[in-house]
Amino acid sequence: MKRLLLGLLVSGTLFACTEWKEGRTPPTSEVPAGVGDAVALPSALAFVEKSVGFVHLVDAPAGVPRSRAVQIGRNPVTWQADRAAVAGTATDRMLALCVGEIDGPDVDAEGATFWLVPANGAQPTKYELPSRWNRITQSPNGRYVILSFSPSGPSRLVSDSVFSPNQIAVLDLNTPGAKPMIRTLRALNDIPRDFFFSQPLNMADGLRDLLVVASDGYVTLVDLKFDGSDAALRPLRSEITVPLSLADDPRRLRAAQVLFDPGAPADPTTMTPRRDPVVYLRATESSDIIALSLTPVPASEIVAGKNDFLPSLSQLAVGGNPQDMVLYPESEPVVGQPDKKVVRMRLLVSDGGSNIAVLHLDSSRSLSIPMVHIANRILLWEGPSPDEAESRPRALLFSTRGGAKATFVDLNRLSDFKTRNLRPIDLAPVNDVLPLLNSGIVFVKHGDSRLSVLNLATRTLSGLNFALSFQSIRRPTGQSDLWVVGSEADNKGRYPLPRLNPVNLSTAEARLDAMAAEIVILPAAPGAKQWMLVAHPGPEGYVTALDAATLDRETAHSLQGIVAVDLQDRLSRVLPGDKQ
Amino acid sequence: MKIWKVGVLISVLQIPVATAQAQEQPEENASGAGAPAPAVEASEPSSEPVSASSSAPATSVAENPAPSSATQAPLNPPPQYSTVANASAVAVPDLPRKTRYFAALVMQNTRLQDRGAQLFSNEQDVSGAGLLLLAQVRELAPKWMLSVGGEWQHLQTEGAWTFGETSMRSNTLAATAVLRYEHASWLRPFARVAAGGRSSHYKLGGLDPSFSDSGWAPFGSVSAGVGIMRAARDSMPVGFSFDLEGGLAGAGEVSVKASARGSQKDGIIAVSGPTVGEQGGLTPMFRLVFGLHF
Repeated sequence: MKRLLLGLLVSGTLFACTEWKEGRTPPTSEVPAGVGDAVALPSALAFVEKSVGFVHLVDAPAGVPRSRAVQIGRNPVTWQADRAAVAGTATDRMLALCVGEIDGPDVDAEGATFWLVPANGAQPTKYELPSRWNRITQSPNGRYVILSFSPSGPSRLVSDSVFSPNQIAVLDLNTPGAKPMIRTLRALNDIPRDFFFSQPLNMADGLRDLLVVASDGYVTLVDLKFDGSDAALRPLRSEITVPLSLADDPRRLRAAQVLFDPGAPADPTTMTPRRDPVVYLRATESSDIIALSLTPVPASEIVAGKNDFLPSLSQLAVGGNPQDMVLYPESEPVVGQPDKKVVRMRLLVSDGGSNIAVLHLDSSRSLSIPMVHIANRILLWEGPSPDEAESRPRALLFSTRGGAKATFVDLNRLSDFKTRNLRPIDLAPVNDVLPLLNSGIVFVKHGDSRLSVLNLATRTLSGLNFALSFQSIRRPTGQSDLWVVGSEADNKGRYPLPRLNPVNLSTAEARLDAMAAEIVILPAAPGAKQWMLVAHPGPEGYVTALDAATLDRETAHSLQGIVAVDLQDRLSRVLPGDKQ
Repeated sequence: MKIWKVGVLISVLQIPVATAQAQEQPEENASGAGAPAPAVEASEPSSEPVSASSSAPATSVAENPAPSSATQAPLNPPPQYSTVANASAVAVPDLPRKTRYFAALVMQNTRLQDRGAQLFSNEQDVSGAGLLLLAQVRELAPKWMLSVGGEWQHLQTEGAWTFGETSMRSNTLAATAVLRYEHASWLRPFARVAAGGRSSHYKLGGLDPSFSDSGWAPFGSVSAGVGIMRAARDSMPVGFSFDLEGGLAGAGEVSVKASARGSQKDGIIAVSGPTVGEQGGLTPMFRLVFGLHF
């Protein structure tokens, strides 16, 4: 009896021991650990943790940084702030594209997803996708989002064994609840490489948006007018593929810059006929500008599902190797009606050398004007000049490839006055420019420790020298001040964060304990103290909140280790399912 | 559970079982001869003439010789006293001794219930070791004995997170009370309660500097089990026991708010660390207790 009792005891113990199962370790991934670079949203900083698919949204109520984690799909590969939110036309949110996960040992399969993540930490909006795209392209106004495969191929992290590189998804973010419109573009032996969105074009039936997809050797015109009668958007018309060169041309031209002339309806008062929309393409390896005039198809010839416009291609000779171009209007008096004016569109092209070309698009007349220096960039604005108080289109031509000159160009009647409309100035070699056209100034970065402020109206140039090198300039959403980020440490071990007032060029600076990489000025209630958040580089997620007015260190507060906030709870949510 | 643990368990179990069987043997022999008293009687010299037949029981107790040797004995055989006297070391009973103190090595296995707790452990079952000291304070009733004392438990686990290894190290100090029932000299079921405090240190490694946090929490446990023992004897003043014990252990929840070491120097902007989560709660436990009674 006692032996039986002992036997049962031993058996029970062994059974209890073997019944206990091993736990599971956190999922490991091939992606870099930690969070990526911070994304500045208008009201928060966002950090994306790629390995487990979380977005960490950081704000600073009462000046103390607070991080909230929002779970998105597995393996986010690209993300950005919503352009519409930055423009103030949509709620503050960010976009994130996740490639999901394929089935494997201890890993559950997950489809690709696209996410709209509100900056306030609210429930994100999820779009399920049929393909594991890995690129986001958003229209400048933020309405449309194109999901596509990167020209370098699908994600190396997770991809299906077969994918269609010409398949894209179009999302209309202005249509809540709409599913993505999936489309496989017609191809001529290449894949989509760049996407260009038009402003609303004056088509025959009204304003319409157009998407130009650039590929090697051709472009594809996609009409963005959808049938939104149900949840799934359906394209009303098929796309148009336009080869950019003849079949026997060995060159593979690719559109590098696309400008849109929106066209104009006929104006009976000036006897001006309708002006069709035109797409201007500057292509690599081409000395010409390619114009695609979108001519309406007569109503009697329109076929259901086909387009109601037809592109007609023409080449505008420029010479050289065009590097930049701008489209501007020029008013001309109407013949016989001096009190009335008609708008003519002009194209100003920098040929990459020391010449600029002016193209009269209504007459195809071309004129080359020499400058005293080379240029490869054109900055266009409308405003006064030292000699003329009237606001007119003007341009600044400069080079980012060396040289010590830039040229102001008065575009009004340039073809008539030619070089007399050119005013060269001395300007140190330019690295980058930050135009603040509403303020009439342009910040010009020279090297890594010098800034110039160019007043476009007075054409004066003021310099700002920095004791330390810096990386770039930021202008937070809705703010007038500029911030210089990426400064190195000074001899006290502090990292300066200079603030510049673009109007009077007064400066102030915060001195932080780590390099500033991104900043956000947080919205504040009227009369309340306004806080700013500074993101520091590092995979652990590190931010500092400080008073945006005083930049005082005493009241500043940092949060280091954002990636570990609520880690335990998040870990229990992302551990593999109950396979054990 | 690891195979080695099972192996250790089996080997440990074999010792007390064998010991228990060894203790059973003399008891069965004694009962076969009647009460223990005759054995004591047999060891005493008799003043009466001893016949061959009457001396047989005595010799059988002493050396258990074959009966045929008795029939072949000479008519006036020498007294058998010397033979019986030579066996006096075996015949003197080795009675169980009362012991008051108990010291034990404790091997404890705890199963983590919260999956989030696995942040600091690669396995759901974690093991630790400790010491237990008890003193008998009162016999509540016949065979019911109350002991009180203290125990120390050390638990150390390792896990993984985004950047590398995590670790948790805890030390538990608790006062404990044990109520044992002496079902037999070798089998004693018991119940145990403990209350005290637990100091834990958490570390998230892989970064420089690493994140860490420490904290105290109240601790308590309730358990029951059975002990197999070899009681202390006159010949061996120390008894041995092996207990199997199962129950629940609970610690108060500690908010793990990790901070980077060395980041709070003077002149540095105040830095908060991330609140990683809550540790603690109720967990089932299983203990192996290797004890000495003295």
